[in-house]
Amino acid sequence: MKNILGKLNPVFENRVRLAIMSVLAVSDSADFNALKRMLEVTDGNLATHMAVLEKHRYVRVNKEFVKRKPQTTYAITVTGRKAFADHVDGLESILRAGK
Amino acid sequence: MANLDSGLQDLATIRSMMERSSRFLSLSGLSGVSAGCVALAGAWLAEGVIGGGPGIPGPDGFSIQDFPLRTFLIIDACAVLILALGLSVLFSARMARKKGLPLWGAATKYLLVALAIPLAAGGAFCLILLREGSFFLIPSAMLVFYGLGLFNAGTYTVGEVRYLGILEIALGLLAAVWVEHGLVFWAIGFGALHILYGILLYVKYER
Repeated sequence: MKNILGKLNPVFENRVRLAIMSVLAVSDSADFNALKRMLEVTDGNLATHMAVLEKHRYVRVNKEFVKRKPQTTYAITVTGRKAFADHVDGLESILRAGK
Repeated sequence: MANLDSGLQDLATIRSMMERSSRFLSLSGLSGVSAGCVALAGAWLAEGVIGGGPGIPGPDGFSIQDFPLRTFLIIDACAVLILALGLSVLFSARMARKKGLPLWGAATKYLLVALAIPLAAGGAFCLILLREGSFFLIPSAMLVFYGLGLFNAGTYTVGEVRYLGILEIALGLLAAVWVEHGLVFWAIGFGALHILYGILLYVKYER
């Protein structure tokens, strides 16, 4: 059991971070407000979790001005995609072992 | 087993988030119903002209039969397209707002590109048919290309759209076999099927 749990990434134990990675895994990029609406979380909550993912270099941040308003968009990195795929594999093996 | 439960919940989160962001889920059934009604009205007008019926009196007392047939049919078709598209966007925007999903996102972009390429090819093909005077194949071509577009776009929205695409393709082929009933097949494909599918989607996702 210990061995199986070892495959799970502690960064993705939090469900908001898991949701962020799921969205980014299938989108080229997503902006802050769209993510906020999709995940139904507050600004502060999303920003905190984003900072963690950024620190691990799982997401890349891009800040630009659209019509003179600042817009922050996020994209998944190669490292992030790999970590997310490994985590999903880990979840799969837990479920398989539990059957 | 706490791990099993939380693992299942994690997978559910991943699945729903991926779906929300990769599929356009705000396609309203009312869009289908309204587009279908517009198409039926357009087909009825066209039938009035082609069938050589009494014609519909225009605002100044002249009959629409006074227009050259081709011009009238083109205007009719464009009006149907614009009205149907406008109403579809309107209802989908309303649904997006209700569900709190963004109307314009990556999924919308994928959907539109998937739909637009077969449609553009079909549109160009119909213009060529028109130029060559092969009017009788136009309903068939419109149905087939539209069906291909829907089948393609179905990957990025509710799955039922793919089946609608297959039905439209089948109708289009039938319309090419029985060209004399082209308009009837057109009315079934763009009118009746849209209304039917609209009601189905509405009952399934919006009630």
